[in-house]
Amino acid sequence: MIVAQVKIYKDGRVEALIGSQDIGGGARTVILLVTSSKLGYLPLEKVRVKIGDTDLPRSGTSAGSSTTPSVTREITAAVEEVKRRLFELVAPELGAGAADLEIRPGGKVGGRGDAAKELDWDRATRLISESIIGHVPTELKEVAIYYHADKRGKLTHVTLDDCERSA
Amino acid sequence: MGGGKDRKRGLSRRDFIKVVGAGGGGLLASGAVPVAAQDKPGARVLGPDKVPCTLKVNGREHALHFEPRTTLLNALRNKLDLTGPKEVCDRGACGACTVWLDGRPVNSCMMLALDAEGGDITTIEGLARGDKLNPVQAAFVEKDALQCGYCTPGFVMSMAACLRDRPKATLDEVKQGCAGNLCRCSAYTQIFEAAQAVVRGDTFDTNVSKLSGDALREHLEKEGVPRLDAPAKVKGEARYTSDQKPPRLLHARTLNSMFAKASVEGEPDLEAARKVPGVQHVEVINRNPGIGAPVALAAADDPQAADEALAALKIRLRPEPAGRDVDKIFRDNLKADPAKEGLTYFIQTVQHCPLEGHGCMAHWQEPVALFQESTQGIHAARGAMAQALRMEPGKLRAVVEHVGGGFGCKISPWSDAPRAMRLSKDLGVPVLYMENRETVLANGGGRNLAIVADGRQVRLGLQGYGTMPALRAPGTPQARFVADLRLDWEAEQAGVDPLDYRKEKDAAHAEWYDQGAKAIGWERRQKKPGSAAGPVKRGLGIGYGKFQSGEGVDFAEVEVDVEIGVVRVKKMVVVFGGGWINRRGAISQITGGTIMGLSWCMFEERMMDRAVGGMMNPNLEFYKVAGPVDIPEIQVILRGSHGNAGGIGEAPVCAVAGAIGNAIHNATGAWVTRQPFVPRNVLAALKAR
Repeated sequence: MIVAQVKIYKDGRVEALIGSQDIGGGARTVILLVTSSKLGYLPLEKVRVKIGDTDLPRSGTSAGSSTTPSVTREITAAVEEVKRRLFELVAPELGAGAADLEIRPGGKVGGRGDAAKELDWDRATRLISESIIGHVPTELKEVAIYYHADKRGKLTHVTLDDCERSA
Repeated sequence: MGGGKDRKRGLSRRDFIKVVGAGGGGLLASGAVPVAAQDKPGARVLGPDKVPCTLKVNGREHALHFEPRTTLLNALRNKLDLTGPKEVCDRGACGACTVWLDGRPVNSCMMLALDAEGGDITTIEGLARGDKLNPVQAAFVEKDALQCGYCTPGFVMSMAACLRDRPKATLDEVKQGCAGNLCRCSAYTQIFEAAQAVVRGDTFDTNVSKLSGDALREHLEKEGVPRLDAPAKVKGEARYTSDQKPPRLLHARTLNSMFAKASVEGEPDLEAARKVPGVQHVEVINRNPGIGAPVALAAADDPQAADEALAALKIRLRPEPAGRDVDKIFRDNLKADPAKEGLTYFIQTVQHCPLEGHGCMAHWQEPVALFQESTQGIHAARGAMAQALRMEPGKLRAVVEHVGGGFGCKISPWSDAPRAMRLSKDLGVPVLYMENRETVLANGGGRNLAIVADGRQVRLGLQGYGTMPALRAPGTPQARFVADLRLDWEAEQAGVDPLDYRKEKDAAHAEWYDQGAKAIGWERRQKKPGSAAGPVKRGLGIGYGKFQSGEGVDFAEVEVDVEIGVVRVKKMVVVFGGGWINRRGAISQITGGTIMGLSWCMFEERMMDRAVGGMMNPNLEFYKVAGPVDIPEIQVILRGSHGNAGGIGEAPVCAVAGAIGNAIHNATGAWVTRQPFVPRNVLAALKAR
């Protein structure tokens, strides 16, 4: 099961996809800011947020002051994953190991502690063939089981919500 | 706001309501002549068939045909697809439908579209000039003067008219200018700031979307950014569930019981209901409904036609005795002696009251059926829909782009949403089914609790009084109210200043208390409660609240007229800790939560008819929520840190009632332990002092 997805496109655009919803608390904006901040405070105009759709990765109900902490955690993990893929593409260009790369302010990609060797965001993302995706898989396979009963309370059938369907 | 100058037809919607209310909606449909029209010499009788009408809206003329009873709001939303103006109360109490007629703000729900013919109508969609926002719209975006945004089009229209007429408006004039509008998320503080920014002529040229790196980080820490969907919301372009308009849409409306238990008397006139033009489906759902339950449903191509069909059913509900005598439960437990054991508390039931009620636009399709639901959890909503319809969740897709508030009542999927999907499947067209305002208010709410002095809690148990879903910070505001008054009561018994008493008991927050005390001017409190001269007394009080990762110390300053029992909150100081991502969003949650807490303890109460368990105030005239003129100055002292993401939506509501209740005690010497702090309860406490 996937709880959040962050995509980086060849032209430098970023998409954060998460099946949360904004009830007025500003979740949409929080997701935008977290995505940008985890990518070196990338300009907000480069980041697009998609929420509010069960076709998107599953997220929780907005309740108990939990939306901001949970979407932050989920989006952060997805960004970490997509960053890892980006570093693998950029590493040969910089002659460094992918594990030694980091994102610097403004989205520059460079080796840790070596300011001279870096690529700005647009040059780094140009190395992507179309897009790269960071998923957050959870080890917990969260499956909702619904028991259906008739009016007398007799079990009629069971349905599963594995939270995914082929798009 | 009124209906503007007399228009040529001279027949107001009130005349129609009178006729429909007295005789049932069938009157108009069967061709009877409305009494009000007959009475006016020279008046023309229009209808019952559709009549031509040309409306000039946002500079363009539209030749339309509709029934004479069509409201201006209905014509704009459903004949012209201008869904910026919202239908909330449908009786002129909330201002969400505000548009301009000849430049003057009017409640479009209270006006017949025919009466707007010949006039110049401006809706929120016509306020911007292309991409250039009206200064009020721009200031609303920049000052974050909105949350869910459902009230925003109405507020912007009222405010833009106010500031056009009074470019140098004072804060009081700004409040008066939007006094007919309600914002349930309570973004009032930011709405006033936006208006004052327009008065000052502030320009907003920081294009934050292009900032990056350290410059962006610093901007977020110091100021924060406007919310992402603010531009769409101030332009009336944001589409909520209620605004979904797929082709061939039918509007489903219901008649709901307001009694705990009731039964339908006689046979509803289905034949008359089905004759109403435009009606596609009528059914009696439940002859023995509980409170808030739908009794009958009508679906039509026009929402007012559906309402007319429901009226034509002429359903008579006979209520049955069902309620529990809450007052008796309370009295029976009131045995403690306050002088020895402390205070006894009563917390009334208050409502969530989101401006957009529950609602579902269902569109049955193969292989995947689509629905939009106004919900706090789309995945949960899909699961519930699948369960109700006994289908695989993968054959359903749930969408929600914008939600017009929830506050807990939309955590659980709407129990009646599957009805919309079944109808869509049966009728072969998309169906939009929105809960009516009476039902929003009758179904929902929480907080009801009495706590007696010896520590026993008495749940008043509103069995038969409707559902009680979780309400913003469930359980906490009432517990904190009791704890906060208890602390001040103990301090008074010990002869200690409540501030010192708290700092000693809660040393971890000593600095917070000091910061707040300095900001409110704690030295101005009455050293001896109630000792100030004259009938209008001022007092200061403290409260503390915590929920999940957020916590805050509140200080309140109140003014109490002890002769008439009226309390006015003059100022609140909120010292708040908890991590945040967007400074503006965090402050808006804190001020909004504080105002919601204020609204609950000061004004709100679900009034029940004890005999039949009927809700007596299921509307926004008599279920009073805080409006612009009720809002005090709120000073927020933010102690949390940027980037440390916490949830702060609920904690700010928790400390308010305690701070205000203690301030009332400081002003008067009376412990008002029964909420809300309305004259009835304040005067009773003053008498018992």
